[in-house]
Amino acid sequence: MRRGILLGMIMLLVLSSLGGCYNRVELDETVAVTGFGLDVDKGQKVISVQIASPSGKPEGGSNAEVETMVLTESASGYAQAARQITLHFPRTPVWSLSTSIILSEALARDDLRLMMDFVSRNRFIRPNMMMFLTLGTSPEEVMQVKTPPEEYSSLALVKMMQGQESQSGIYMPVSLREFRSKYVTPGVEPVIPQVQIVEMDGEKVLQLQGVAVFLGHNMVGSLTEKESYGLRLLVPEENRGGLITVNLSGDRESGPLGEMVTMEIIRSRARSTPRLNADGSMVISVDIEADGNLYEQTTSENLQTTANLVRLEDLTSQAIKEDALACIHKAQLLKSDIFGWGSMISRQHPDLWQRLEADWPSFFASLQVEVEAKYSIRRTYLIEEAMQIRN
Amino acid sequence: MRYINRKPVRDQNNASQPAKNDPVQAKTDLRLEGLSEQLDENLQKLQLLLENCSDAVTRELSFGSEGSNKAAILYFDGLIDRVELEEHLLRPLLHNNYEPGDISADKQNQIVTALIRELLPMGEIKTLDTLEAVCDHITAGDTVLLVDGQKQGIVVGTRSWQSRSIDTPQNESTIWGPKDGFVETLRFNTAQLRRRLKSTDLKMEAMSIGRISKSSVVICYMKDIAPDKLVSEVKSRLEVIDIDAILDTAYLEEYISDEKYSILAQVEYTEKPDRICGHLLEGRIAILVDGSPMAMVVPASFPQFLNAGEDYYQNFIASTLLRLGRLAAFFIALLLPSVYVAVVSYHQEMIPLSLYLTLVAARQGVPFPAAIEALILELAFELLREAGLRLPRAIGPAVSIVGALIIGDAAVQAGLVSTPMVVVVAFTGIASFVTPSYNAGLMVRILRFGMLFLAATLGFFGIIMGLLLLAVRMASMSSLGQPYLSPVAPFNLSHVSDVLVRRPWSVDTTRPYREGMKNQTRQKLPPKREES
Repeated sequence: MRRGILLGMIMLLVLSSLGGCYNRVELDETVAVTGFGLDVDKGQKVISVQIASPSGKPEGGSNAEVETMVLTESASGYAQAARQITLHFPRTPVWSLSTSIILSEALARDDLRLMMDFVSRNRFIRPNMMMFLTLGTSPEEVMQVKTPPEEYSSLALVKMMQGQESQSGIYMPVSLREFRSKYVTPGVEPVIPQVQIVEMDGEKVLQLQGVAVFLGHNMVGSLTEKESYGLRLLVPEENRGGLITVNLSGDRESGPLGEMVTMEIIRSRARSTPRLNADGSMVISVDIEADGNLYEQTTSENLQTTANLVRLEDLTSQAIKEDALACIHKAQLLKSDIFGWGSMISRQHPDLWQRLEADWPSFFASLQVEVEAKYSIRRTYLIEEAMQIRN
Repeated sequence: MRYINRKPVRDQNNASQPAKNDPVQAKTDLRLEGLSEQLDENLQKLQLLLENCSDAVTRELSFGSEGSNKAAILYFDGLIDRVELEEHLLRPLLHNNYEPGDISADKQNQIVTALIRELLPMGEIKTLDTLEAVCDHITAGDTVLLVDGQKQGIVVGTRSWQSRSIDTPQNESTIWGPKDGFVETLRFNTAQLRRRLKSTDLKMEAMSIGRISKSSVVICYMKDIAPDKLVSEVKSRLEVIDIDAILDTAYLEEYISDEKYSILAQVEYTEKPDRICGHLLEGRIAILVDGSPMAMVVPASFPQFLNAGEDYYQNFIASTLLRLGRLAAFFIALLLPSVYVAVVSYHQEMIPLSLYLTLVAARQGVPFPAAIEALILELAFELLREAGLRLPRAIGPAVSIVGALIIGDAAVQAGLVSTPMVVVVAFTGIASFVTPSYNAGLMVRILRFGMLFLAATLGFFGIIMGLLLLAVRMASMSSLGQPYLSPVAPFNLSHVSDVLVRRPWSVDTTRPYREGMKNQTRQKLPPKREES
């Protein structure tokens, strides 16, 4: 028995030296990093950190006054810059809590290699953080924009991104993990959604605006909103949510306003397959299948007839095809294979890929693409007929 | 099977041979003497033994047609039923002018035999022939009649004393099911068992343990269910116990359990006869001790401590959910403070951001590290609980008010502790009350502090290590030879379900497996109802 106790105590001692208390830090000696931005400035690496620091008496709980502050440091490396923050800040930042990384356009256009090592190697940076790219402004400015009712702009960005995805379905969130894997995989190029500071009623607000497209280590251009919508329709994973507007006249851009119909997409899925022709040329055929509901109509014409519903389905399929093609054309223009067709070919035709890999961007740019879209209406929601205006 | 190799702890023969020339020893020698034919001599010796016992009563009398037979009655006041004594012993002797026929010289005990056979209208009656037996019986509440010229005395059962009436157990309150509980008198308790299981297979073997207390101990088991080996093992472990007194059933636990120096509860206690009957029907053994309302059930396995008696009376779906809730409460009571401390001091990245901000705001200005804070509050809670237990009922509520005000409010207001910690400790406290068994709850309360220490020094690593050690310890333990974690480990598919769910009675046709158990079948499956 005594031997057992002795053994137990020795075990405990050994255990404590194994794990140790070395990383123990009291909660009130820390601050949360809600997000951080990476920038370059004349060869110096600049890191901006948004910090949430509750202050005041402890009774507050969730209603405690919280002040947000942005610290910026520059050094020869990002880790070095991050360390420098501790020189003039009294608390330990908890990096693992941050939710978004904001890259500056300058950094993206310069060279991604500058930051990919830092964000991949560091064990305090979570791979599920969302990535954003600022257009024109520095990450620091973006983080300083007030985003009521949300206290922290880096959190607000994440919530904006998630909200718009299920409601309007234009942009897709990109996590660090996803970005990283596309960055290192041959035959697929990464994208990052862009954020811009715009003036609205004299106040600076953040707005999601377009998608940055990369090729190799640099950003090469941006997709517009329409093209971004097309990009979302083209990914092989199933998408949920989103709205698309069609016009009964067939002209979505300039058709009469009174004939606009908004269709909801509840789920969509794209299936792309490479097809080799007898002459050796390659065609990528894309099949988009989508389901959805009639969401809003501005005419008083009864659209809920069999003929009209089929017409609406055709119009919506047409619109989907149009947006997808717009995106494909832009990507081909930028020579950036953001759809991952290259990696798809490498899986299905490995020997062919061996020949194509070296010159893939220009081959991608000249690829023939066929898009087929099929949209089916499931429901028309609460009313049976169109609203009639009675005089 | 661990108990087969078990050696007796102590040799009883050695213990009962103390040094000579000891005044205590002299008295013992006197006790060992047989009764003599001379009543006066017997009374003299008994006088010596009963010296300074103010509650001992000796009543001398003479009976027979001419008062020719001298006799004496001995008893302890307060332990006997006086009415019975007067009506059924004194009245026949004194009023009947009884004359036991011819007494020949060679049949010395004929008067005694005749009295028992013909005169005394008592159910419990027998003869005795040593002074020791006289002492043993009168201290137990019997009355002894000594007759002059007889080498034997008569003992009649007149035991009756003031005792608590059968009541609802205070510690095991239930909403559903039988409400009666055990009392301090052994005979009432055995009667409650027999009343529920009307079978001669319900065996109640009695023995007496305790040099001074000579407490009656009864081992109850179902003859056709309980394994013989288990019964004989329990008996042999009880037989070797040498102790001066048994004041509660719990005295026996340390003597008969497999691991004497363990915090883990190894036997189950209950005050409820219905619960005991349930255990007996599953092949367990109950040990009842005179003077204690707590019955002990062996062998115990850990999952058993999370079952409440009500589980078997309520709707089985409700019982199953409650049982799962109880399992969750067990882990909350064991781990919640340590998990909180580990997360707050080591693993901040695990906290969602909004919760993090709330916690940081609440911890602003708290002077103690989270681990110390948890320790202070846990200690305060345990002290409050203990104080509430000891205080007279009239001022008991005052403690909870003071506790709630001081600990819950003032300490937070003063910035000594943080609100989340108070919530954590309070929730832990509530969870720890969920465990139906008190001794298992006690074990959780103590282990919680160990876990807190591990969490404070090693974070989650420590908690996992602690849980591993606990699991290894539990898995290696046994209770009367039955693995402590059975039927979870060793795994028994058909009975492991009874740990988490309460199966409906109509499909629960087998008893939980126990090595050597006879008669595994409870009942047949009910016949299928014909659809008409």
